Amino acid sequence: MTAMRDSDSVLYWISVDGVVVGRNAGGPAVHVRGERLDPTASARRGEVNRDR
Amino acid sequence: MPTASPPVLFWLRSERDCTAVAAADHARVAGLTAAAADLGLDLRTATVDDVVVTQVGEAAIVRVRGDRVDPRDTFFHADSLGRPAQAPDTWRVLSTIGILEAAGFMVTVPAVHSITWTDTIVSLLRFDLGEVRTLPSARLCTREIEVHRDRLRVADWGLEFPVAVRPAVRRPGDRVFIAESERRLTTLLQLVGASELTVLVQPWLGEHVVEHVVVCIDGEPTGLEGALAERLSGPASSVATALGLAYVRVGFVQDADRFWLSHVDCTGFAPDLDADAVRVQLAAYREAFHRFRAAGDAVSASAHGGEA
Repeated sequence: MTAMRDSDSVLYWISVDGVVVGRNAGGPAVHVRGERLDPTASARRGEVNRDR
Repeated sequence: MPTASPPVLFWLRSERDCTAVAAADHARVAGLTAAAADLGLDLRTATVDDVVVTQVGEAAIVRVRGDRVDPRDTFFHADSLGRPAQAPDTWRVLSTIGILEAAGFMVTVPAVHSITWTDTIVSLLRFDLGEVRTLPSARLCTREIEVHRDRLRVADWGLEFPVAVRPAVRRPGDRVFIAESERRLTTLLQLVGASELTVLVQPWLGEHVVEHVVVCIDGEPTGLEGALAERLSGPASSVATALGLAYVRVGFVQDADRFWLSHVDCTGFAPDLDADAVRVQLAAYREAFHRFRAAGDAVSASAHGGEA
């Protein structure tokens, strides 16, 4: 995985095979290599956060 | 002013479909052509290699098999090209559709819709229909899945075994596989990974569920009656209106009194459609083309009026 990051954001430049997209009871979600990204936070803040 | 000849609908097909020698394919094309003729459409098949676009001055000139075609009497249709075997043709067809749109032609399904809506997960992510729920799903690319065994953790997606594994791009006749355990799921994913097929993993609702496909014309559901109309008309209309296309099929599954949105299909002539359904689809395209042409005529008349 290639990730260029500062304190607030992560830019992923990876194979599509590392991305799992889906929907569960909580709504749409994206996982990258098993880590859940939070699209709501991303949309709200204009950045990509990782919910560990 | 009405045109002397019926509008021509070119059906752009993948060479892998178009050159098929299967008698069933020839019969299907013949059936569609006859149905179109009954509706006043001249349906012809072509490949993107038959289409040549040139720019002369400010005008784009489009020729199909050497004959110049006009947006006032010709429009285009292309099937969904989601199968791995069609991969070499997918971009050629989509880019050609985009070029034809730029050249002022009507297409039944714009390129952006084909790209956006071909994968089932998009509609499942996009729509929240309230009482009609959306099937929980995880979309998984499977290249080298045997190396990255942790790519999918079923529990992360609120799924429990058994789960259903199906191609992310629906095609009539596709099989749904059932995995009763983690071990079985791993085996299935390694099998589909051999062909790099992208799949959806969903709850297995059982054999008893009923599938409903609601055809929407210009956003309006058709063919629904009684209690089913009460439950599905609103959700189907919401989905079809959001897509904004002349013809959309919206799929639901029913388990007793519970309903889920299962898929949206806006592309292609489904191989399993009966004659009446084919006529409905073609008639929707014909009416959309009439509106397209009328709108173009109105713009043209306005421009000429402005010059006078």
